[in-house]
Formats: sequence, C-alpha cells, structure tokens
Amino acid sequence: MKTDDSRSMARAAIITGASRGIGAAVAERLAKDGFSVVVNYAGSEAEASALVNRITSAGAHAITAKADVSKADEVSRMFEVAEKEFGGVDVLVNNAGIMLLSTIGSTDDTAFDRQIAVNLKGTFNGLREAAKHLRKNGRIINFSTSVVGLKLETYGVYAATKAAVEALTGILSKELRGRSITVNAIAPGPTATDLFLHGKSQELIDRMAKMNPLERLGTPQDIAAAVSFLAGPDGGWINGQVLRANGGMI
Amino acid sequence: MQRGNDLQQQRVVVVGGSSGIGLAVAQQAASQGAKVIIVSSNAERVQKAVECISGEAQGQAVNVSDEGAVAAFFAKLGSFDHLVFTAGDALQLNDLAATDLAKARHAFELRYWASLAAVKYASPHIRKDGSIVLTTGVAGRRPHKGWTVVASICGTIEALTRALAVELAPIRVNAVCPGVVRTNLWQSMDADAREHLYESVGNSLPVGRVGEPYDIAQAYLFLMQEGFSTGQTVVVDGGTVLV
Repeated sequence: MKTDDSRSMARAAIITGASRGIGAAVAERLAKDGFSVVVNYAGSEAEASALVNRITSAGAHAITAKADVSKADEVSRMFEVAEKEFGGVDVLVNNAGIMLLSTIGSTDDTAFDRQIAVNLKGTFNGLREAAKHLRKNGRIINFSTSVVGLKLETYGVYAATKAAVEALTGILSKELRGRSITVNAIAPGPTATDLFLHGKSQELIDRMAKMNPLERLGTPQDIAAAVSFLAGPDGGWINGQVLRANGGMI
Repeated sequence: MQRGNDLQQQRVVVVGGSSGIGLAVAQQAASQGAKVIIVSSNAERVQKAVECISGEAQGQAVNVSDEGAVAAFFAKLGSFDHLVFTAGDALQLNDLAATDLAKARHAFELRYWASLAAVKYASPHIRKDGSIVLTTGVAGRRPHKGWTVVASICGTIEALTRALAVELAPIRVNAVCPGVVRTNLWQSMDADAREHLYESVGNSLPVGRVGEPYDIAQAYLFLMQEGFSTGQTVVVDGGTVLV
C-alpha cells in the first residue's frame, strides 16, 4: 500500500471547536507550524470546510471532523478518524466551549447543564481519549479563562466549568508521567470573537478592552500564538500550568 | 523491479459512480481490492450502487453541482488515491440556429464546472502517486451536425486534463473518451428509439457494436494504475472516429 510519507511523519493535532474564533486561528497557526490538523466542528460545516481548504491551499494537511464534544462516542470516533488519516494524534487542543452569561441567582438549569456538558464534559471526553491515544511527546492544551481569576459578575457558571478544567489540567499532567506528554491550559482574557462580542454593547466592549494595561482586546491570533508555544518545541518544559493570555488584565 | 501502481487497499472516489461507466469503474476497482467511495447526488441510487459492488465500497450523496457541498465532502474525506469523474447529464443536441445560449451555458455546469470543483477541492488530499481520471467523449473529435455544445464540452475537458497534468504533477491527470455506450445517458429516448440507436451505431462501427460500461471502465483502471501516463486522453470508441 502506497502511503504519502509526509502525512505520517508530520505531527497531528486535533483542535475542537475549530470552525471559527480562537479555534480556527489555532488550527491555522498550528498548520503553519507544520502540524497536520483535524478541524473539529459541531454545526458549522461550511466554515470548517472553508478553513480546511484555506489550510490545504497553503500546502498543509487538514481534514474536518464533525463531533459534538459533549458526546463521548463522537469524540472517540473523531480520534479514530484522526488516527486513520494521520497515523496517530500528537496534540489535542480542547478549545470548544460555550458561554452563557447570567447571575448565579438567575441561571436556569438548561444553561447550567449545557455549559457543563460542552465546557467540562467536552474537555473531559477529549482528555480521556488523549490519555488512551496520544503519542509519546504529545501535548494537551486546555482552555480556561482569565475570568476564573477576575471573578466578574454573570460569569459564575462559565468560570466554574473552566476552574474545573484547570484542576483536570494539573492532575492529568501528573497522571501522564512516563509518556513525555505535557498538559497545560491557556486562560484568555477578552478576545475579539463572536463568543465574546455577542450580546455586548460597544460601550461594554470598550470598557473591557481597557481593563488591561495594553488597552486592547486580545485577537484570536494572540491566543493562537500562545497555543503554538505550548504545542511546539519551545513549550516542552512547561507542564501542569495555566498560562493567562490577557494583556495583563489580571 | 517496479511493480505497477496496484489498486490493492487504495482509496478510489468515483463521482458519478452510482450508474453507467462510473459504476463499472467502481465495481472493477473494488474487485481489484480498492476501497471505493461512490459519490452522486441521489442518495437512493448511491445506496443501490454500493449494494451491488462486491468488495469494500461506501457511498455518499453529495450535490456535485454545489461547490460548498463538494468542498465539505473532500475536506471531511481526507487522504485518498484516485479521483474518477464520470458524472454527466443528458446531452444538449441542437442545430446552432436553434441553440438557446443560456441553456448552452448551463450544459457546462455538471460536465465542466463540477469536474473543476471536484478536482480543486480533491487535489490537496490526493496522495502524490495517485491520479485523476476525467471523462470526455468522441463528439469533440468526430462531431455531427447538432453537436456544437457537446463537442465544445469535450474539447474543454481534454484541455483541462492537459493543464491539470502540468499543474498537479506529480499527481497524474488523464481522461477517457468513450464513444456511444449503453448507459442511462440515453434514458430520455423512448426504448425503441434507443435500441434503434444502439443497433444502427453498432452496425456502423468496425467492432460491430456499441460500448458497454465494462469496456470503458477498463480504460479508467489502466490510467489509475499505469504510472507513466499523464495529460493523455484515451479513446475507447469501437472505431467511431474512423468512420
């Protein structure tokens, strides 16, 4: 059987929630860094395939993989697809997440359950698969949020799901002893994506942008650069850490 | 010693593989151990086609005239070895004076533009020693009166084949040029008229019959496996261009 050697020699990364926002920027950046990438999406097929086409036009390897991260069997199937296509998985970026803002007193059960399902269980599903399948010298990058430190009103449930992700990050980094795999989390501050901008007035956006001394919103590329560091050779001695990327907001 | 590029375990995508020449290509490739993926717009026909292939076959219903759907299909499929495009719709035959130019433009949609889209979105995923085989027809070389649009499409595909062979190298790109073949391309004719066509064309040809899908399919199999051919159009026509 003929195989294309360049595909099986490059390191392969799965990025969840990569059809848009930070995830898409991470996928593009890792592809530029030389990874073969799996662009996971739950609903936005057109955006995901447009991203894959942009990446492959630039000469890198990429495929789409549809999976709702809150469903363990879909995440498992996604790892199978990645292994079949790229021979193995080296990097997992647990980026997929949702954010529904409301005070704790007024948060309904559906909003609570949904954020737990995608942000916490979704990350956990990825971590469980990665613990079983990630190749030696692999990297796991989870997504937390700087709001875990800043503790802004209405971010209660969202921050709770991400604080849980930070705990999983540190503990998994220890459980993977012996496999040369690092596990870290990135905690962005306000970043100019649909997730962040949706529902906010321009006045609020401007106010949040000025909360950090660099006086601007983060861009998806800022966050992707931090992920690139942790996924690449320079990040190899960073393990079990939460890297806040927020312009100095907290 | 170099073996030919055998199809054992290779992934072959046949766009238009639910019937006719495409289905025969899928069947022959599967019988040689290839993993065949049939793509066509009609889900039911795709399913029926997959069922009549012995060997490893799967199918996907994709509206091949929808660029977005084609892009999404190949983005999801990932790496594969050979792309075969045989999809075609009913031929537009009209004397020039009676040709509606808007309809004539539309005649290129499936046979040319959908081919181009398929190749565009598939090629980044085709392995370096893989190939693409497109479909043209003898009308481009031996047109009759009333065949201007069809002949134009055939010439277009042959030029496309040469250009792609240069641009997509080392992926090989070739085309098969069939004569009249017994397939549902002619389904808009009534049964008697169709049989009469087959008989009269068949009798006029050096080989004495019209083509069957399995005749033409062999040319696609050859072009997928024979590692030195690129930019070529292989005519499989029973001698049509000679008479």
